Amino acid sequence: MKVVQGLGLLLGLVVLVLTVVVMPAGWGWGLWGGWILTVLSLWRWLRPLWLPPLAALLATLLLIEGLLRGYEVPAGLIPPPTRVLQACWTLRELLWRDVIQTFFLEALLGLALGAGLGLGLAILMTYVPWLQRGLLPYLAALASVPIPAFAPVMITALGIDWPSKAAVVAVVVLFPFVISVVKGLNEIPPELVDLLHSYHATPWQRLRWVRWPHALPYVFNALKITVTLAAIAAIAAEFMGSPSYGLGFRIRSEAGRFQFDRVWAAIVYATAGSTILFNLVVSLEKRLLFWQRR
Amino acid sequence: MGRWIPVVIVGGGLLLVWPAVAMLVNYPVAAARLAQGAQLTCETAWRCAQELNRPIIPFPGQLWSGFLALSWPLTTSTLPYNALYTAAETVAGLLLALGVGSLTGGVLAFSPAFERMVLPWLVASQNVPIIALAPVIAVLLGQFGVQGLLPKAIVSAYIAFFPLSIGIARGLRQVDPLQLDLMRTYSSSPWQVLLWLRIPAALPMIVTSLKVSVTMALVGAMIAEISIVSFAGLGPMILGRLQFSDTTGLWVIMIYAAGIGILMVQGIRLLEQLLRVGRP
Repeated sequence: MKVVQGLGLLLGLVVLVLTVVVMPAGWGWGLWGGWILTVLSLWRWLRPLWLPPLAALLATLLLIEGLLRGYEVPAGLIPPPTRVLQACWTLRELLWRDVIQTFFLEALLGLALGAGLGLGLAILMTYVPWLQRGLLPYLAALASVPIPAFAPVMITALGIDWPSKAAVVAVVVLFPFVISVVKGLNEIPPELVDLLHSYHATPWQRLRWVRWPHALPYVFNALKITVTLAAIAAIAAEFMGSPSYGLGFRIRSEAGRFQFDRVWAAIVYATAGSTILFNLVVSLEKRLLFWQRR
Repeated sequence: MGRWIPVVIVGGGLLLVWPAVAMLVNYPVAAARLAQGAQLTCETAWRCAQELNRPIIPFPGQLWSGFLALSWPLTTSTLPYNALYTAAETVAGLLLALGVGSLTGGVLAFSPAFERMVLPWLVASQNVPIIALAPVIAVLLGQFGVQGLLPKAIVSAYIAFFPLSIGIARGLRQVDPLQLDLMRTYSSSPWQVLLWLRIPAALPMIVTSLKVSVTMALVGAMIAEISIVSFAGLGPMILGRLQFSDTTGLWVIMIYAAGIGILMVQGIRLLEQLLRVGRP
């Protein structure tokens, strides 16, 4: 049985790779065959929890493909899933350049900036409590500025390239970050505070050995929330103005030119990017916070 | 009263820092333009920095006059009308999302099979930059002849839909088993259980997910406005100001947009407090 499954997996992957790379006529059905073969052979190893959603996804995609082809909907308007996959492959260099712009330069640098600033502000707030009451309302107000209204201001101030978008991302992630970390820094068992007091610990030692380890789970929680937010903010900010690359720019300009297979390809890349980022944060959390029971 | 003192102090500090920062960033620009020999009515770079047409950060006075210029008179080309238009799109979108989300949330809550197939995707969709789809939907709707306020409302509904339907499904199932037993001893029908027990129990969660989605719904409406040809709303106004790189105007629009965002969140807060009245 295992041999059959292994052969099936191999065959499925080979069909997949071949159809994507060579793209013979009628390759769309080859792609579907490859997918179905791969999934079928992986059936045993898939966790039972994943089966219903995976089946639903495959069925939906197949249904969409069938309906679009059956009713001969113009592929320019709603491209069938196989056309989108084709665009993902043929435009890979262009889209990779967009991914670098949107994810690495804008979302990640912006997130790093916002998180660093948020961390600093949160630590400051635990030592100067009145600042917490004074500053948080302004941060909350800043967080409720809609991105499409905020991005143009940054673009006129910092130029149209990535620094303006990174600044938008930093401001968007700042408030959730500060809120979460302040909560973590304040939630410390009082007996630990007493203990450190009896040890005559300096404020720095208190921060390093008690507050920081207690805050770390909250920092990661904040990162998990803001990493997706960062991608959203970068893309939404790019809609308002961007040099001729970036996923947001690609989506908006190709939608305006009715190249919807390209639009969907860019969306696939954006989704993959933010899913990978999120999972990176989760795995980093598991590695660093090994003492936390889940 | 005591809790407002730090807010006022920090606000005052920001107001004091603002002109200094504006001078810091605008001075080099003004100095450069003077050195180029541009025809300016001012003599020193110090004065010119305060009178730049396109300041990088506007001075308080500039912002105030820009605010007045864009707020008055009340016509379709000034901000109050356009801000209200965008707000109307967002509210319509939220109501639409509430309607569709109730249906989906209800089916999710009462059909375990449907839930197992769909819920993982609904949850995963929160990791997807769904805002990326806003231009696609807006353009497609325009292609099918949907025009005016509706396409933007649909886009903002679509943004709000995902968190809302999850919230509704969770809320409907989050019922005290004791109360459920009580209803059963009254031999009440499933509809009565829904009406008198499940929906009231779900309301707080629905309001919470509304609060999460309202800001993004506003963003969605504005993205939809700029993705298709539209004549009213904050989006077209931003594009117009951006074309002339009218910095002060963009700042004023940003303040209006922030005002809408804050008002909507506060409105939902108020709703939340009203719902809490009469609860233990």
